[in-house]
Amino acid sequence: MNIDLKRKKEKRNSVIRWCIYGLLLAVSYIYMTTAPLTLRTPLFVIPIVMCIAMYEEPFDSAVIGCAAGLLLDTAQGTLIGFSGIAMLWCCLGTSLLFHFFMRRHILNIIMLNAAAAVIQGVLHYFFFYAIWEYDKGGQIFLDRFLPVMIYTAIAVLPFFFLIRFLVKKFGVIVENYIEEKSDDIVRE
Amino acid sequence: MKDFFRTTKFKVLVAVMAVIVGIMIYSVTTGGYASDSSSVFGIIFEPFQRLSTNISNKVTSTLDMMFNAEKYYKENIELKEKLNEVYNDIIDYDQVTRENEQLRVLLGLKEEYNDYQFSPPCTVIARTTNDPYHSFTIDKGSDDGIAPYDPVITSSGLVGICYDVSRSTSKVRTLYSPKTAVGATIVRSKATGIIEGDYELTEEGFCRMNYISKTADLKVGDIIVTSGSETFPANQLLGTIEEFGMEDSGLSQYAVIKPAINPDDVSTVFVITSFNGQGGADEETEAE
Repeated sequence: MNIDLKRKKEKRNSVIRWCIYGLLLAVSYIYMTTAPLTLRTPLFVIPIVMCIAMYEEPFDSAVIGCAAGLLLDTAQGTLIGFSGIAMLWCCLGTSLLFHFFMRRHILNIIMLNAAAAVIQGVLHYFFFYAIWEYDKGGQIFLDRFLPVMIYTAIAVLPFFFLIRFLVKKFGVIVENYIEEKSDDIVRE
Repeated sequence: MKDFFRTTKFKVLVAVMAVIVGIMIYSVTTGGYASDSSSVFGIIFEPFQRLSTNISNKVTSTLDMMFNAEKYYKENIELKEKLNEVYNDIIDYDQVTRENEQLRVLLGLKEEYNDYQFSPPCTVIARTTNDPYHSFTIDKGSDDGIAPYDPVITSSGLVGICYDVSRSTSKVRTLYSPKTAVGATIVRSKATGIIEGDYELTEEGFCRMNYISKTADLKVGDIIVTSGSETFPANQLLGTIEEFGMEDSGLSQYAVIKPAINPDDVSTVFVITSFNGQGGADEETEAE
């Protein structure tokens, strides 16, 4: 394939891919802020950005992680930037791990996503409930935070397959060449 | 991997983090008003939240109609029977007039409290995700005269208090939150106490009235209204007593209150932006 054409296609794929990422985040944010208050709603933005971090460059992953964290802050009513910083580091770490040390396997992302959910949940509980010594804080953690962490950890499964499909469909164009040995080449 | 930490991109990330930390520090010093960054987020997301709430409400009501048609049919029959009973009650005009007068006092209708200044009607545009105390966001902010610690009501009573007010949105802390301590009076016996949230009771849709005198006369069904303070105007309906008892210490009584308003069902509210006796946002308030 012509190199220019290939670059163009890759650029187009990249734009489509990132638009779909943005759409996924927007839809999950809307669901999180409109779900009934009695439900324990999974924090869908966490598995989405963790799966994205698995495939994208570390810098891009950190930026989208930070953006997702800020969304999480507005949805959860926490101090703006609180989850932003946490998710920036989680996504950066995940991306670096998958680029240098780990295979892109579902078990690995389940483990890392669960870790991110726990880090976010525990930090949220600690800074917004525990240190203010709310009555029945332990019960709030068990009744509210723990189920949300578990649901968030489980929610990675559909997003793993979806993001993997997106990356395959709209990722880097891989060209396979079949090289043939030929004695017919005339060298002058 | 070590190389990544030496790149310009990593330095950019560190700079971004420093900016966010700066915003966080600034945000906590704004005294109940949202920082500019929060306001920007509010402005960006408000239309989406409004749209999504409308879609969500439509889908919910359609599904509700589909799945609960039989239940509503039965309810309809029951309500018709109740309506007949009400028609019979209306015949006793004098009694109804008296009740009406009492309700006017209790519910604090606007004509009796002409010192109130209201915000325009506010629509609930988002619920705080997984908040144990059911706080939510409304679509009016400081541009509409709303300030932190302004009380939020509906025609049925007090809902809560505003906090984190940005230019176009405000967050509302409900009666369920332990941070929203409201001075309350029992209408029949004039006994006073403080209504506070309690996590276990919140899960069941109740809150708790504490510090009631141990000699106070309480009955199930007694109506509770606000006693009036710098934060909350007097005589706003809060709820009714569901059950009561003596505290373990034996020094006072408590009551479990069924709030007049369920925050989960609220879609439109009003904010009282001014009333006689209101204290400033910077002053010490009950809510703090």
